[in-house]
Amino acid sequence: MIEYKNVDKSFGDLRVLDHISCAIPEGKITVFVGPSGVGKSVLMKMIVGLEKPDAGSVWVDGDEVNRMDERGLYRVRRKIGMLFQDGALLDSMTVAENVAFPLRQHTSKREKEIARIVSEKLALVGMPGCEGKWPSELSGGMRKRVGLARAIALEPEIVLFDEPTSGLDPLMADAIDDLILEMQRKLRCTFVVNSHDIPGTFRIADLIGVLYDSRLVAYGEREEIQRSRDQLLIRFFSRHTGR
Amino acid sequence: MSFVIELGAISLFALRSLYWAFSPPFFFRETLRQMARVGERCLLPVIGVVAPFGMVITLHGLQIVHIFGVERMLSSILVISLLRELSPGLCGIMMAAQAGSTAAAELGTMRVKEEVDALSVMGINPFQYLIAPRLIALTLMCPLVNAIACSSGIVSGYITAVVFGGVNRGAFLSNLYSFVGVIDIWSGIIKTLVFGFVIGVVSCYYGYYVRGGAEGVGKAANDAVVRSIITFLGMNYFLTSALLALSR
Repeated sequence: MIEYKNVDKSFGDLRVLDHISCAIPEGKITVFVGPSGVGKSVLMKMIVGLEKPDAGSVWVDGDEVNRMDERGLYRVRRKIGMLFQDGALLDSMTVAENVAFPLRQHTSKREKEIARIVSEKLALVGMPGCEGKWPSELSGGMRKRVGLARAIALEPEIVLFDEPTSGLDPLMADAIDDLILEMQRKLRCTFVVNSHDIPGTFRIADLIGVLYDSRLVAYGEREEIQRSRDQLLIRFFSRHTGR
Repeated sequence: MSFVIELGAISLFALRSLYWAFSPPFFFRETLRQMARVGERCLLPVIGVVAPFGMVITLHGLQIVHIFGVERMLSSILVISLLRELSPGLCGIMMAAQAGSTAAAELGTMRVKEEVDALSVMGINPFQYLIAPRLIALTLMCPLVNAIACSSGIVSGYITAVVFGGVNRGAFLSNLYSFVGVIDIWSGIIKTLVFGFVIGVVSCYYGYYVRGGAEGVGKAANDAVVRSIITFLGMNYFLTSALLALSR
């Protein structure tokens, strides 16, 4: 389980997160929504220790990650996969080498076995047969898919998605949402997603957290959030869905 | 004040880089790849600068030795000036311009495109995978490139003196190493090791901590070149003083 306890974060005079507390359950898809620049990515990066809170704490499976040293963090990170906004593929490697990279670094599998896993993961994200391509030859959606294949290569317990559908056309965004749902069904691991795509969020989320004005203004089951009579939530969602 | 703070930050970065460079796992293949890239990128430009300097020194030397009638001294002047100062200095400047700027721009782009964060999340320490191989490559390749470039400077000096200047071939060759001591050889090696290390640390620092997008990457590459050159040329004074004291 992932837990935020009274997390505060500022960059200079800019308050980004203000007393954020919530618990993300295992085996579910939790989506954080909110306008751009509200601190969703910062909140997500705290899970892997890329950002540290100014106050409060972040816990992953009983480990307080904000207090861990570098070696401890690398131990925690091995059970987490993360899809970055643009895929963050290593441009000096082919698609296959990108997906194989964590396997080569953290396992003693033979090259034949690694090649099999790479093909399997690429097929899972709908990119079969593109092992030899270079990241520069891929479209935005394809880069995200390959990034996702790399994120799940080590079969992590937790997968983080930072804006998986941003910058994609509606059809491709739907395809990525379908992929997230399908993978969650197959892998049964914990998914945490950042998004500002409200229709997509209502499709995939088990739990929804709404970040607004540095605060977590709502957090709960999808149906509960959708039924909420809170004026701020009604305004926020109606602006995006025309509800 | 900000200069002192930045100097402190770069020093801490250097210590952190060294710590991780000597902590397993070691990325030998990546280190060799970086060494090959540094050699490929720097060798010809460094020779392209040092060789003409060998010719120019010889031209100036020819004027002086003719006045004093000591033509046999020409090759000694050429070799000592190249070994001790010119070749290491020019090699450092060109390597900062070629390999230092590349390292800063590459790391900066990787930072902007979140590739550095992606490595961290994959459980791979960027200091071990990105910084240490570049630092080791620059540190070790600088003396090697310098040795080859210095040889090219001597050859170009020979051509200028013997072929174009009419200096006796035997006199030039027999006095080539007359005044060269072991300390002069070591001086070039030690200086270029230090210069390479400084270029590596400064370039990786500005690339690794880049801020902003394309503009930030450009600034990082520029800062890496200018500041590493200023730093190692400043250090050169103290290194030369120490090495001269040792040679007495």
